[in-house]
Amino acid sequence: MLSANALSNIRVAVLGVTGIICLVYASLALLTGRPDPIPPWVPALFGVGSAAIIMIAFFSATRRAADMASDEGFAADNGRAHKIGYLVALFLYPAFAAPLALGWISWPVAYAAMGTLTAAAFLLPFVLFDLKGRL
Amino acid sequence: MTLITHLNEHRKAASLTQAQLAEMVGVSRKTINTVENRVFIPSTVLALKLAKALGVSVHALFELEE
Repeated sequence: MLSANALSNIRVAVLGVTGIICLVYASLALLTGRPDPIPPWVPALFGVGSAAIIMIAFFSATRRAADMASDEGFAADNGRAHKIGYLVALFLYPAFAAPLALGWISWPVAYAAMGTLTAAAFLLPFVLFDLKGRL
Repeated sequence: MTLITHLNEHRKAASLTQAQLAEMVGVSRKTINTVENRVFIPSTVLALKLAKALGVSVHALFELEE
């Protein structure tokens, strides 16, 4: 049976990898000027895969371990990361407005970058808070 | 006002590791660590559980800075 610590480690690892993939995808889209710098299903696959791995891990653990891994400390980190993700998602609209208006980037590139940056803006802060809390 | 925590001192006095205390109250070790480091303010329920596990009052664990 997986311990609470193992569940937290699995969660932070898969969300961290997915966050990095999203950030890399957005960066590559902006740098190359292409909406699909790598196959566009890659970030989606990592997102769905992460959710599946986390769900399987939690269902395979005891109820107590699952509760410990999703305690109020987790809820606090989750809430803080959501706040950052929300604010970044809002900020992306004005941030991309000028480059779009000036024709520096195309709409498809902006959609691809904004979408993946929005995901990364939640995932990476969550991982950061989780890891910082352990030190 | 700032919350002052004495969780670390009481936990060490009870010869418990963060992981052991976390197991006793049903939270992660990280949560105990963040409470001790004043990163996270625990709920009343968790504060009561911590006090019970350490055999002290909540006021002995936490106080408000004047």
